[in-house]
Amino acid sequence: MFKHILRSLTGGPVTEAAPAPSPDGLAELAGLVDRAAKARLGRSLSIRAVDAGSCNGCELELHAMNNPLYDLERFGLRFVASPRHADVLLVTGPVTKNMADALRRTWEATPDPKWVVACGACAIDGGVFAGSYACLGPVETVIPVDLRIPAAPPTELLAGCWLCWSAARGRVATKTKNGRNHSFRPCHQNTARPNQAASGFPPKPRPALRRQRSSFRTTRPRFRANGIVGGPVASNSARHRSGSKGRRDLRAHPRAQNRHARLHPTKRGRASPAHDAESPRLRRQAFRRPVR
Amino acid sequence: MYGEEPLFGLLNRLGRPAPNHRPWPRHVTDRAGWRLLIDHLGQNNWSLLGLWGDRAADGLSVHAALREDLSGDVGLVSLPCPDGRFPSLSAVRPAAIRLERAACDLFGLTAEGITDPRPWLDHGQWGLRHPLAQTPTFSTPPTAPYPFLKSEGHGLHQIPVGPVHAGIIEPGHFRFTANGETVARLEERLGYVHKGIEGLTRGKPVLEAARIIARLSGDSTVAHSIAFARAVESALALTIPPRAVWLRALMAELERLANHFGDIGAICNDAAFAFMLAELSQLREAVLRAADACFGHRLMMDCVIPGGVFPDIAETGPKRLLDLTIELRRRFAPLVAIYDNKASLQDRTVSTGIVNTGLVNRFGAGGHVGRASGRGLDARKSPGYAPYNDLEFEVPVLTEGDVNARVWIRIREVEQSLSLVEQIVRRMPGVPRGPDGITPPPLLPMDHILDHAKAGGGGEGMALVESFRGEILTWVRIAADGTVERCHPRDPSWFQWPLLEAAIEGNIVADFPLCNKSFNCTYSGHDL
Repeated sequence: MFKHILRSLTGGPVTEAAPAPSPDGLAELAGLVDRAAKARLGRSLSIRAVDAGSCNGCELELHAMNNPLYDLERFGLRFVASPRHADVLLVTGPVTKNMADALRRTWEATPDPKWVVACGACAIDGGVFAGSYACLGPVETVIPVDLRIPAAPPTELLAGCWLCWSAARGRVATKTKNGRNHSFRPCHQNTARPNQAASGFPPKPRPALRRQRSSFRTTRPRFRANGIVGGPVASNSARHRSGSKGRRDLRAHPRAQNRHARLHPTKRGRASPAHDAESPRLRRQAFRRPVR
Repeated sequence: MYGEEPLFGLLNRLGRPAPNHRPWPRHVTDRAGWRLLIDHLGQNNWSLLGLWGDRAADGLSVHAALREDLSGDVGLVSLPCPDGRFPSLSAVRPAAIRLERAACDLFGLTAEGITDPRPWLDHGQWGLRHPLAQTPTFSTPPTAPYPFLKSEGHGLHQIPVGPVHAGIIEPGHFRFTANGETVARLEERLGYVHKGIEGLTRGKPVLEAARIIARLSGDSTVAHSIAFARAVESALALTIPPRAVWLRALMAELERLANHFGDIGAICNDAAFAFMLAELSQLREAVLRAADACFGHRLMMDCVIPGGVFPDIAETGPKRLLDLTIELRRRFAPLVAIYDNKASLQDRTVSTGIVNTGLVNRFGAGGHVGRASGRGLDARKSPGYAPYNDLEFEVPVLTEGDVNARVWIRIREVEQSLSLVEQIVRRMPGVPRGPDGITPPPLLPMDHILDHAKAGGGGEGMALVESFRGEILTWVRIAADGTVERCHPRDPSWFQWPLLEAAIEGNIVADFPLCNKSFNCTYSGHDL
């Protein structure tokens, strides 16, 4: 074994170069990386894989991404054990009806900001299982989807995750199958009240970080096992706002933010002053409710 | 009396064989015959290979497949159930319990006297009850939670785990009852990944159905595809090109290699020895890349189809595979030595999660679970199928039944598979070239398959194929128009999952991942 280790030390890593993002994925994500949001996540993204009825093929390839040849973690992307530590839910499979509730609850347990990536043909449109009495089909029938990675080989996945990371640094417009524009952005930016957006008046620009955060409430729908229960829900940030003055200095530097975010899964530390200075257009967009 | 009557002797007494069932006979019996069968099962040690419901034009029925292990004789018994009831086999074959529960959920077939009448695959979320029955009824989600078996005693507490697990694995629920650190009882609840595959394949043309079956369980996609293809070919009495037979075996062995490498590494990783996972996942990756280069898909999904194989192996494939086996042998041997010499690793795997031989035989478990506990059956040897009859290999058997034994079975099987890959590549029939230099793929044309179906009026077929987990049983009925009327794939995990409950008993909770990984049962293949 020591011979092995010595050889690894002298021979250099077996890890291969990162692939170029695939043109399909690029087309879907349509570029547009926002510099202002770069500091929000730094170079880290925690992924929670959820099997919602996959054949295990995607899982095998997700495992492969962790092997020394692909080594996903070198990009700051890593799989985490709990949805409470995750930024991204990577969902595979043609959501079976028996798994729908578990998937929904996993999504609820993931703190904002969060993204959902549908991975593989089954997760995107149900694949060969579409139309079964036991499957719901695309992931977006249960939770909102931000990005789709159509194929499962690790190189594709790696490219997809690479895109995911670059997208996570900013807002990337994506187009859904039904032509609607999806915004690839964290949910917590959806601070605009829907009625405000509908009124047609541009909301007032946010003057300062602290003031804005004090009115940080969302009308995010809450799910229970037997259906949607609506109503305003205090966001994580609002809940943790009080008594956190001492942490502010931690957010001064992007690196420090990053560490702070890792230490505090509520992700308060990831919200930077930069993000609040973003255009009001962002905030006008109402929160996309999941299609039921 | 024990084992006195040969299987076929009893089957002939039970009823007439059904026409057009190949390659083994299927005898149709009545309730009295079925009860006689139960009596004999109590006295003989025939293995139950599978039990599944069926709905034909003449109503519901239940089929059971049996094997006399010593002689390798396989036979099927069918019982028409016009009232939707049949006497349960669960008292004499505990492996039948979950199969009967699944038949009840899907077809509404009630097993009389079953020892566990709770639903299995049906979680009440489908909106339908008995979706494959003649007239499915609407249902609403259940109000009461699933009743887990009770464990009562001083100091016992429950640990619910799943269905969403911490790792990148499939969903299932485990309910541990622990006394301190020691597991007093584990109960599994599966069915979360039930996709309705048996319903989806119904009425589909064979090629479409083959695509669905290929996605039954991604890690054994080749083995399941081979089982389905061979069942269809048996049903329609097709003879496929010999080169296709050899290519199928080649893919199956590559799949076995890739999965065993991954499993050995993952077991060591669950014992906190990540070095082995890092090394063995590279070997696994080498196999997958070779498969990709040879057949165009890393997992070789959709490469085996009824009628043959598509595509043929790439021109550079044989050379690449021979180089691969040399490379794998060179790199695998030192890793085995490391596994064998690390006391801290052995401390975790030796005498952990023991399954005894009696239990393995009662449940008829195959694969590495059975072979690590002294049940040395392998579908490639018995009943055997081409081209394995022409190849030289051994089936490793150990009797310890612990995690370590299951690792060693895998290690030995890797060595055998490497030898098989070499033998197959060297002895495979050559490519038949036409006069114009065009190479036809080793595949029967679809027209030929459809003609056979029409001429024979369809048929029924069964196949037993050894996947890396154990033997797969696939039974199909093909209609005269070449569509699938009924397809039942039975994954080896059906008989291995119940043993995991037994293996963990008395071990500490922290050893569960180790035991679970050493079994590596499929969720998707089991839940269908």
